[in-house]
Amino acid sequence: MEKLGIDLKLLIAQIFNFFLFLFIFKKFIASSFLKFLAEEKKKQIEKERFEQEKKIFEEKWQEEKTRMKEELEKEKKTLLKDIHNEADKQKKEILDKARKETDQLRERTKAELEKERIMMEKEMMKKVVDLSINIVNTSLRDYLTESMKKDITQMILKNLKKEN
Amino acid sequence: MKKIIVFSPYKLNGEELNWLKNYFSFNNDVVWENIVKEDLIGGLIIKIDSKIINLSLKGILDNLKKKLLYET
Repeated sequence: MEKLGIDLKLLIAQIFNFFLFLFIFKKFIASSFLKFLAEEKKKQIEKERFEQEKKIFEEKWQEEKTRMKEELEKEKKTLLKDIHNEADKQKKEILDKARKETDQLRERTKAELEKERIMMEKEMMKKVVDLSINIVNTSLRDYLTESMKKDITQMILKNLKKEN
Repeated sequence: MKKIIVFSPYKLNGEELNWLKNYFSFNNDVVWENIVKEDLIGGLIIKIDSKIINLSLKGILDNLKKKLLYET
């Protein structure tokens, strides 16, 4: 044994040490260590479960986000459509109102022009009549002699007599 | 006392005035006056107090004017 380089005493001591270590380990350390390992495993399992749940949550959140985005787009389109319709409606109303006012203004102007034309015609007629009568007046005054005037007066008086 | 004014285009003679006096036949409490107004052209205007009887050519022309202006 000495020729192989094995020291028997050392070997026995090492084997004793090993069993001593095993005994101490089993008695004092093993349970805590195993407990620690179990806890670590449990934590690992928890972590994995948490990761899984997180993944599921994220997927659901993404889905929800997409859905909300689509709904928002849809609402936006509907709102824009409503706004356009309302704008068209108001535009039409404004145009109709403007057209109506223009027609009314046209009618009023026409009536006023007609009124003015009639007034001017009446004015013209008045001037013509005035002028004509004045011309007749002046002409007769200048033309009739004293004896003609006497004759006319006599004739008027004669007619007066006849009527009564 | 009543006052009658006769407007004429020339001075009326006695005969014409008497004719008028007989025609209107007022009693003697009437004063007659004759005023010459050449623009009457022919005929007479007789003013009895505030009443006016227009028998002149000018009056006829004025009436014609009114008729033409206001009745057309």
